[in-house]
Amino acid sequence: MIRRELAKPREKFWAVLLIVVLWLLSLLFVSKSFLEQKELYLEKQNSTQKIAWKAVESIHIKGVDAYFFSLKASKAVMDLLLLAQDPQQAKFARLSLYRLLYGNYQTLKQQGLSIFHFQDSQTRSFLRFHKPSRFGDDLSIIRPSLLRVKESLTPLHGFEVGLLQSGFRHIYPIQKNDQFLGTVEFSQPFESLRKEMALLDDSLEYGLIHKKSLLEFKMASNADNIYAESAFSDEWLEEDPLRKLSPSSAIMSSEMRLVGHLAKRDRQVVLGLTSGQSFSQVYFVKGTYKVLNFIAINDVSHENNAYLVSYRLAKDLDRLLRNSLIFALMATIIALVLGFIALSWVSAKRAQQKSLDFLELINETMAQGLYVVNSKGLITEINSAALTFLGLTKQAVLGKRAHDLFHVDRMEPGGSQTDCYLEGLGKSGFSGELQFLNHVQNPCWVRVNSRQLLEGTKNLGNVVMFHDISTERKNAESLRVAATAFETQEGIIITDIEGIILQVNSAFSRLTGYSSEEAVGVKPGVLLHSGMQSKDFYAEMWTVLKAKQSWQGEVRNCRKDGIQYLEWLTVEAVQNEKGEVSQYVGSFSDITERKKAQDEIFNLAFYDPLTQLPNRRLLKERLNHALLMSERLQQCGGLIFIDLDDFKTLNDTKGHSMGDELLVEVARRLQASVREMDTVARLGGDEFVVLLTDLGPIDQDAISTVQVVANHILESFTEGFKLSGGVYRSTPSLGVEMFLGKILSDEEIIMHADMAMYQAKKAGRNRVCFFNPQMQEKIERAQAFEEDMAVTIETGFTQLELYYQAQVDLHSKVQSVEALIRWHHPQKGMVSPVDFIPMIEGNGQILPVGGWILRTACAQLFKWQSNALSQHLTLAVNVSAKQLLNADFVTQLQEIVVSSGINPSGLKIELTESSVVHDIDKAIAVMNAIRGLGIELSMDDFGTGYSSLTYLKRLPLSQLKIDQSFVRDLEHDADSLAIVQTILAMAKTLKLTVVAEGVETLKQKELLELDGCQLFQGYYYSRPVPVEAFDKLLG
Amino acid sequence: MKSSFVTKIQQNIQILAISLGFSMGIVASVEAQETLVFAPLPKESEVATITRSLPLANEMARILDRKVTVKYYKNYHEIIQAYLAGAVDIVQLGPLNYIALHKVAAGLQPIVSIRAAKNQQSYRCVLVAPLDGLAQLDEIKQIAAPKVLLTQPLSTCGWMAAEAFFADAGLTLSDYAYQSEGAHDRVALALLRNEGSIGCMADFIAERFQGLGLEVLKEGPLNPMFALISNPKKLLPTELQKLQTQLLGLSAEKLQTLGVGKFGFVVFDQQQMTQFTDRVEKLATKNEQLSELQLLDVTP
Repeated sequence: MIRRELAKPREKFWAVLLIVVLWLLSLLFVSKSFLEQKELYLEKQNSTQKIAWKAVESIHIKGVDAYFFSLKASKAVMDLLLLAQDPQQAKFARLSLYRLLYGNYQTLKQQGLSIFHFQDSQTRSFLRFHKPSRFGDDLSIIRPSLLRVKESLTPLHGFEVGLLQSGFRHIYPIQKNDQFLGTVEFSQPFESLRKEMALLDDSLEYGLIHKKSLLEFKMASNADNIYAESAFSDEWLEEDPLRKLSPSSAIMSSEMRLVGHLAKRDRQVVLGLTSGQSFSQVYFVKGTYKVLNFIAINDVSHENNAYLVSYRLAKDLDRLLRNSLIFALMATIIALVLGFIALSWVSAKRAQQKSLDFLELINETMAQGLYVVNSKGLITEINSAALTFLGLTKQAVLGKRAHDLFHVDRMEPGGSQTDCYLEGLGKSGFSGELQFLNHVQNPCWVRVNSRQLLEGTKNLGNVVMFHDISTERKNAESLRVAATAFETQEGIIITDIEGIILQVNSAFSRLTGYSSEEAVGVKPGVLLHSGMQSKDFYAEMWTVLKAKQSWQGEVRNCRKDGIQYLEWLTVEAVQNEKGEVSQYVGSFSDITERKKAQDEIFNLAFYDPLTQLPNRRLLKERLNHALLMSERLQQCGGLIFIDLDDFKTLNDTKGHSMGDELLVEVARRLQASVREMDTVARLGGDEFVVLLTDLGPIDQDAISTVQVVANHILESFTEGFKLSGGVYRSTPSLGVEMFLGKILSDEEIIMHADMAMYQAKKAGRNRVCFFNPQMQEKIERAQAFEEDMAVTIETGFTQLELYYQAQVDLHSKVQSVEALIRWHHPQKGMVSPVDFIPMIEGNGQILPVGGWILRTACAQLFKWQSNALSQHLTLAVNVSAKQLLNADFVTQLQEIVVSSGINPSGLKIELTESSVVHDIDKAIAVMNAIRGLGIELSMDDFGTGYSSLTYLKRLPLSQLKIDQSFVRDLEHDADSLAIVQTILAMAKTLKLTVVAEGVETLKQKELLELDGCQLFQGYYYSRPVPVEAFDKLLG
Repeated sequence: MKSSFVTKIQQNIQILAISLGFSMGIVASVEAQETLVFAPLPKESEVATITRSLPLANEMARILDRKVTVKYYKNYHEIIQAYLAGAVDIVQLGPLNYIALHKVAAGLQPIVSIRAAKNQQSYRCVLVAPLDGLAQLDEIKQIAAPKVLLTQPLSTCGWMAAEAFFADAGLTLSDYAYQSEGAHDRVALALLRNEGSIGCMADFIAERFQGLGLEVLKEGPLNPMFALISNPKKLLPTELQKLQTQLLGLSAEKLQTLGVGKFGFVVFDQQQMTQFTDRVEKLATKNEQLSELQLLDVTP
């Protein structure tokens, strides 16, 4: 291919070169022809001029001959010449001859013979008619012709340079009676001859040049400047260029002089002038040819001494040149035409070749394999793609049968030539899929197209094209899979880039109600538009789609039957191989039901199902959001923790449904009491929270606002709640925590509000209490205790110790003892039970601690029971409600009793009213179980709780303990005394022993004794002391 | 014949005088020009005259390092007019024309005199006749239809010299027929051809025709030679000095190349010219015809 590309310019070059050569040859021919014609013309001119010169020369010789003979015939002339032979008479004879022939001389001058000169027998000048004053000079040296005439006595004719003037001279000897008298010379100056020649051809201008070397003798005395360098050569002189000697004659024209200057530089002219031969030369000046004919003129000695130069305009040559130029122009035009034709031909040929090359290039470039077989089925041509596919070389293929080489069916059993589709059935043309052996000799599916090569009706063979379709087959398979996938449960829409639907699947039709025919060609919006999405929604969707080539989201559309549905739509942009978006594919599913379910789940997750208020989770989300916005906007907010006072009582007394009714109503009233933007949530039970946001940047203003809202809430409870069971009155306790920024976490804020709420309850309920730092300190201290207690528990209760306080009879004899726990805190020292017992009861640590107390107490009791002095003692151990209601408590107690080895009758479990009444039935059951173990039960702090006889009767108690608050006020408060008396009377009735605790004075002991109290406990007798001290007390 | 000749002379001189008067004012205003114009003696055709004069003009240009051109005037009258008009700066004049110009143009600067023949120092006018013709002037009275041949009217050897010869012989030229041949050699040839009885011409020309039969009957006094005259306003004294020195010192070889001046140059002889002038004036006072030459003295 490269070789061909390189060859192309050469073809053009050779074509152009050929034309140029032909053109140059034609120009050469024209030029040569012109030059030949020119030479002929010059020869003709030269010949003509030579003939003219000869003719003029001949005419003049004859004319001068006639003069001479008439002169010779004159007796007077001859006599005078004879007289002149005598020197004495010579002067007279000269004067006489001058006078005699002066008239003749005038005639001769008129005829151009300006020189009429007699020489004497001594070759001296005798009489010059043209210059009579000059005579007597010796001419023998400078005029050898005179001597020759004298010697030969025959006339001489020739061109000769004279002393004064050159001319065509005719010298005649003069004799009389054989006496040589001298010579006479007639001479014609050149001008005379010129005029004669001009008569023959007046288109010529003549000039005469003389050989300089022959005139040197004259040049030396050229005082009159008669001779000057000629216009034609430095070596040749022109005589009388200014026509001094013949003023009437025209001087050389400027044109001829101009051409003469050209000739002067012309080497041909120089050589021609040196040769002594006649020649002609032509010059092209100012657009026309000028001819100079140099006619060699010989002197009387036949030596060349001058040239007659004739000048003329060579019109014939101009015409010849014109014709030649026309011919050359025609040749050029023909050459150009031929060149054009040749180039066109070459271009056409090149185009044809290029086309063939291009076809070959296509053949070599095409991805399809191609081979040609002749009528015998032998491969004659095959392209690169085919060879590459087959893994064969061209040499290995050409001349072989394709069937033998790579047709797969050849390998089948019984395969023969006729089995080949291409050579058999497909010979006249085949199009289908076959298997060829590829380059690794594996059968490979190819699509084959075979066509007959026909030249007329003659079959030249077949052209077979094939290409590997194995990939196509795989793709087709993939397409089948894709088509199957297309028909999924999800609706699929394929649109063009303008959004016009190109294709939908059956799921689309099923989901939307529109058939494929209805959908194709229409924009989805036209079919499915529900009006639920704004234009901005779609604009945003297209923006994202164009930017990210993908979009996902929920769209509410409308089915063909008008029912709206919610779909989850995914749109993907499909790009072509250029990276341009060619289609959009939208897939969607109906998520209406799923959305509904999700909403329900959401509601369950975030809303209280009873009141439909946000639950704790949603509250926390909103609180976190409020904190974030507060931080960002520097706006105060407030959280009100609301707990219904005595709600449990309603539940317990009226049932849970009534309670629920109340909660629903409370929720309604709370919502009515706050702004729409505020959140009212229910945390659970009777706990509600109101979240107030955007309360301004100033905390005092915000507090005032919250106070107002809290008051509204309180006021909303003043009216009774109409429940199904009647009107119920309830009050709330409200705790408030304020916030500005995200200083506290959501949990901390809720906790603070909760604390404040408890504070409000403690403060008497139905009121509002704002959280303050003391609350926080207390809580933190409690938390610290809790953590320290955990450490104590984990380290074997090493920091705990049991103190014992004696219970004495009327005689101050210790009858029983109460075990009281003490905590030796490493940093804080002795910690009062008041400070940590509620804590461990709340956090559950009471169970392990209670267990330790029981074991330790029982262990001590065993010791006391083992001692005679103390074996009578009864040991009272406090058990909390949480312990009591713990399912394992009885078992644990039994195990301790057994393991400690004590007499259970010496052990007394003290319970509080609150621990019993919380779940009295269960408590009674447990208490009975404890009594079943032989252990006594005592009701601690009796009188502070319900102190109801109803359940007191049901409790399997053996003892009551009068709360120290009654004992303390016995001396001063009649009510306390009355209560104590009542308790004592009731105990007596129920046959229960009574212990009065907190006895600190004798008076108190006496008052109690009067009312029948038999056991006393208090500082009056003994503080709680360690066991060692107690033992000492016993001793 | 005689009256027409006189009339012609008078007309020429009148025109010359008017022209002189008109031209004087112009001369004064003409400033020196860089190019000098040389007017040679009109002896032949214009081309030949110029050709023969060019070598001398070139030589003067070489000497002066100024351009010198040649301008042809048909006769003396035109030369004098041109000189007075400032059109020419160097003129070639014979002695009589020098006197005529000197009369109207003061301060003429003679450069050198020009030899007309080899070794010539001066020349004379001679009375000539063919050898077979008159032997003496007074024989003219004996022949029938005598005719006197002259050169030019204002030529030194023309009418004035002939009249002097005739006066010396007791004759009056105007009593005889006379004819102006235009040039000295023509006078000689015409006499040889018997076309005239007697003629007057310069001796050095007459000498050339003696071999042909021309005889000198009588010689006149010495005349100043032809001279190159310059306009003092056009040629600085230093230039004049330089020109004189170098022309007088030209070698023989150099002289061979010249046309005019080929026989060499001599110092202008002012004394000779003064004598010639006196002679002319004396002659004029004696002769009525010659007195008409006084018109030359008319100044503007």
